[in-house]
Amino acid sequence: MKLSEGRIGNAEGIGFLGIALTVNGLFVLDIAEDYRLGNTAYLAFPAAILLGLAVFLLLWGAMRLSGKQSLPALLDHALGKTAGSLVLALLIGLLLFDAYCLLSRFVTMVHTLVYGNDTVFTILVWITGTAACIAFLGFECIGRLAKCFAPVLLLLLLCELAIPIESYEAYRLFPLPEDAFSHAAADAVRGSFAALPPLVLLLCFGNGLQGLASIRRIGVIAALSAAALTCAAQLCIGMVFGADELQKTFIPLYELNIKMVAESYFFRLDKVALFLWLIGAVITAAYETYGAANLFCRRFSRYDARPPVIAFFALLLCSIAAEHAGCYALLTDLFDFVHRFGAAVLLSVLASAAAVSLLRSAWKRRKLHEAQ
Amino acid sequence: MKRNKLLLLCMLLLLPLFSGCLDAVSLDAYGYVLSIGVDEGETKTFNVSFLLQKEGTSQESQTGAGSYVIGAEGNDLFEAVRIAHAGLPFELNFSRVNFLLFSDAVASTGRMDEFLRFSFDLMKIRQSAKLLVVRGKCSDYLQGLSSADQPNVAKRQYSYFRTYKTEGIIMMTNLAVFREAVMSGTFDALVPAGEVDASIMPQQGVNTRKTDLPINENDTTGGVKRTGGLRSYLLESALFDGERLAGFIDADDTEVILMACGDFERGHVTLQDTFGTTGFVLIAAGEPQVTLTLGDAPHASVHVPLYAQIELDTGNTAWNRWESELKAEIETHLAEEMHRVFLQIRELNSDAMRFGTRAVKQFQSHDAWRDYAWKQKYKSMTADFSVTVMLSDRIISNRGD
Repeated sequence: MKLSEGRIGNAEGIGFLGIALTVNGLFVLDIAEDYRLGNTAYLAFPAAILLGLAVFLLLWGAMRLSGKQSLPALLDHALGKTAGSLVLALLIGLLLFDAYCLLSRFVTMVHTLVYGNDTVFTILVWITGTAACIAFLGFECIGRLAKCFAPVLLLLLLCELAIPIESYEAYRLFPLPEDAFSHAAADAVRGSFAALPPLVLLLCFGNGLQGLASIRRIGVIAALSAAALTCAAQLCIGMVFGADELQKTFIPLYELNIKMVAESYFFRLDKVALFLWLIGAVITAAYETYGAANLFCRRFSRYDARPPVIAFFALLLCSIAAEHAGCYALLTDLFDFVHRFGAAVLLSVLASAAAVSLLRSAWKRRKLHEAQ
Repeated sequence: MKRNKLLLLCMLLLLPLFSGCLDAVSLDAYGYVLSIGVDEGETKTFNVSFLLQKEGTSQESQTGAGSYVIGAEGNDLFEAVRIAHAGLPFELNFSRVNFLLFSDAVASTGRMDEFLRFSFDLMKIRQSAKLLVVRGKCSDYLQGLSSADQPNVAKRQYSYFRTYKTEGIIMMTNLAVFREAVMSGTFDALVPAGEVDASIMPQQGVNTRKTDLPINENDTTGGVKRTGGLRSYLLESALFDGERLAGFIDADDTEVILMACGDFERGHVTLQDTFGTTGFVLIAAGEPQVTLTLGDAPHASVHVPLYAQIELDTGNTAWNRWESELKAEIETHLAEEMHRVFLQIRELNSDAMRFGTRAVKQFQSHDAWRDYAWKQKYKSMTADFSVTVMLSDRIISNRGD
C-alpha cells in the first residue's frame, strides 16, 4: 500500500493537530449567526474543541479495550461494515467540508484584502495547488511542515493579541446573552463540526504516529492548547468588537488592531500575519484532505492515497470556483445544513459507536473471564 | 540523490524569476491620498477634497511643496473619485489615508455615517484612520496643511498624538471607534476639531491659488495670537450625539472629559491666588472609580485619582502650603470643573464621559438594554465627582534653591 504515511513523532503530531484545531477555531467557526444573541464565542469555540476531545478520548478508550488499531476497524467492530462505511463516508465528507470552508475563507480574504484587482481563480489555484502538493507528499510531509510552522504561528497569535492590548475594553462583552451558558453549549455542539473531524482523524494514524499511546498524548496536548488559544483569541476579539459589530465583521482577528489610536510599526504587519495564517490554513487543508483520501483508500482497498488526494483537491477547487462564480446560494444552504446538523449527527454516531464497542469489549472480557 | 540535488539547485536558481508579485504596479502609477476632507457640495451632496503626498521623483516634488490638494463633488466617495480621476494622470490610492475630515456643516446634519458606509476593504482605507471635524471648510483646512516646511505631512499624526498623550487637550478618535459609538449607543464620540488661523502667512513654496484664504490679521488660534507654523490647527473637540455633531468644547474642557472617562494620561492645570501662580502637571493615577445607579434618572458617583507635580510656583510657597491649602483647592477645582463640563455635555445629549459603557454591564440581555433606552435616560442623569490628588514630586521652575 502506498498511503504515504511515514513515521513522525509527538512534536510533529502536536504541531499539525494544534494548527488544524486553532485555525479552524479562529477562521471556520467564526460565523456571524453565532453573535446574534450576544458574544459567547470565547466559551463556545473552546468548548467545541473540548467536546471533540471528549469524543476522541471515548473512541480512544474503546480502541484500547477492543484491541483495534484504527478508527475504521473500531467502527466495523461496533456498527458492522455497512454502517461503519456510512460513518466513514460522513467523516470524509466533513473533513472535505472543513477544508473547503477554510480554503474558501482564505481565498476571499487574500482576494479582498491583498489582490483586489486579480481574479479569484488565480488566487484559488495557487492556494489550493500548494495545499494539494503538500497533501500529495503525504502524512510525514504535513507533520514535518507543521513542526516548522507551529512555533511561528503560536508566536504570531501571541503578538497579534498583545499588540492591541490598549484597545481592549471589557464593556464590549456586555450585555451577556440571556442563558449565556446554554447559548454557549448549543453553539459548542454546532461548532464541533470543525473541531471533531481533525481530532477523530488522528485515530486513523496509529502506524504513522507510533502507536495508540502517542495518539492520546498528541490529541490531549494539541486540543487543550488549541482550546486555550482559541479562548484567549475570542476573548480578545470580544473586548475589541461588540456583538453587533461582530455580526458585520469578516474575520475579526485580522482587524484586531483597528481601534488602536496610536499606530506603530506593528500596526501595518496585518498582511504579513495574513500570509502566515494562510500557511496554517494550507497545512490544515492538506491534513484534512489527505486524511479523507487515506480513509477512502482504507475503506475501498485502494493502495495509493495520491489519486484520491488529487481528486479531492479538484473537487474543492471546482466547488470554491463555483461559489465565487455565483453558485453561492447552493453552497451557503449546504453550509447552513452542515453547520446545523453535521456535528450533531457525527457526535451522536461516534459516541454511540464508542459506547457499543466498549460494551461489546466488556461483555467479551466477562465471557472470557467466566470461561476461565 | 545527485539528481535530486541538481533539481533543487535548478529550482533555487529559478526562484529569483518569481520575485515579482501578482498585480505589480509601478510607484508613479499611483497618487497616494493622505487625508480626505468632506464638505457640503454645491451641485452634489458632498465636495470631497484629497490631500496627496508628492513622491520623490514626481514632477510636483521639484516645486518644493510636500503635498497638494485636489477635489471633486459627488453624491458619495466613489462618484467624487471617478470625477477626480477624469483629470488626473495617475490613479488615486487610498492605502495611506490616515485622516478623514468632515466639515461642521456635514457633521451636524448626521451625514457622516451615511458617507462612511462604503466598503473600506474595497477602497483599501483602514478603519483605524483618524477622524477630524473642521470648523469651516475641510478644503481650506487641507490647504493650510500643505507646506514646503512639512515635506511629509503623514508625520503630522505624531504631533497630534503628542498633544493627546502629553498635553491631554484633544481626543484622538478613529473611524472604527466612531462607528462603534453610532452602532452600539453605549457612548458618544469625542472627535478632535480643527480650524484655520488666517493670520498665519502661507508657507513659501505652497501652491497658493485664488481660492486660498486671504491673510486676516485679526484671526487667532483659539483666541490667542500665534506666529509661524501651519495655518491649520487642532485645539478643541467636537461632541457627538450619536452620528450628529452636537457642539464644540475647548481644550481645557476636553482635558476634564478625558480625566473623567479614564482616557487621560497627563495634562496641566494652573491655580492663581494671593500667593501667586502655581502650575501643576497632572498624571493619571489609575482608572476612575464609577458607581452607577440605574433607574429613570441614573446617578453616577465618580472618583478620579491623580498625581500632581509642581511645575511653576511664582510665590515660592506651594510646597509648604500643599497639605494645608493647595491639595484641597486643586481637588475642589477639578471636581467642580468635571461637574460643570458634565452638565454642559448632558445638555447637548452627548455621553462623551462614557457612562453608557458602565451602564451596559448591568444588563442581562441585548433586548433589556435596548428597552432601557440609555440615551433617553441620560438626559435626566445626575452625577457627583470627587478627585484625589497626590503630590508625586516637585519640579519648581523659579524657586532657585
